Amino acid sequence: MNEKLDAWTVETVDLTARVAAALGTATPSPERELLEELRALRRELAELRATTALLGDEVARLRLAAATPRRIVPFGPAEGLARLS
Amino acid sequence: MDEDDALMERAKEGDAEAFDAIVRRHQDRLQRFATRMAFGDAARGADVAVGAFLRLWEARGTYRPQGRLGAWLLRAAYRLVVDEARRARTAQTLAEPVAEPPHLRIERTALAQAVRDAVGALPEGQRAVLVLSHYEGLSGEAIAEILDVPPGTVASRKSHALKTLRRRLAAWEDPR
Repeated sequence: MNEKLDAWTVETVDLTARVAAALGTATPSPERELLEELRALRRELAELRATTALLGDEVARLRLAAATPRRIVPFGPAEGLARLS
Repeated sequence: MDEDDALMERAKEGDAEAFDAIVRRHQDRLQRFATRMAFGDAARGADVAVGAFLRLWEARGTYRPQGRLGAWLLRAAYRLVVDEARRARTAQTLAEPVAEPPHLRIERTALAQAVRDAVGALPEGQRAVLVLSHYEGLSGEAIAEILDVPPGTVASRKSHALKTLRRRLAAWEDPR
């Protein structure tokens, strides 16, 4: 008889989320916490990239500002020059 | 004080994680019991188990630590099942074995189906005793406490239940 009765098995599921939701005491699951951390990291990474781009622009601007201007002026003033013809 | 009672003490203070741990510790047994009491309806069994946990949460302020939290929850689940059956009878819709989804039905063996139907056809009191004794391995005293009946009644119900099941399952060969 016992073996016959054992043929009837029952599957169970995890009820923790349902109970917590019903009680209004839901706590973040580890997966959700991890996901939030990943999102925060992605936000920080995007901010770092933006900051790096700004710094790069600033460095380039400073380099240009510090360089000695060397300009060739092909059409400068003509005073003092001897005419060849 | 056992671990359940220690967790309940924390839950009384509003510690949701402690109550979560209680749910994890007892949910499987509660679901198995409630599902078998609900004619194998797993969804209904889960609902009853959740209902029992909600009752425990509501009663946490008056819960007395006696090392019997498991029995407390099973008793709550049993009362939920009985109350629902009573309401169903009042509404002239006496609970019948529910139709399972096809995919579940296919997975079950014919014997399992026969056992489910035979256990489901037992009167509530006998069904509860059989499920708690055979499937959950509880002693007669523990079952008496859960169902709030004398130990002699438990023994009597179990005897009647087994006699009925033997008759209904007589056509089945013992599995080898």
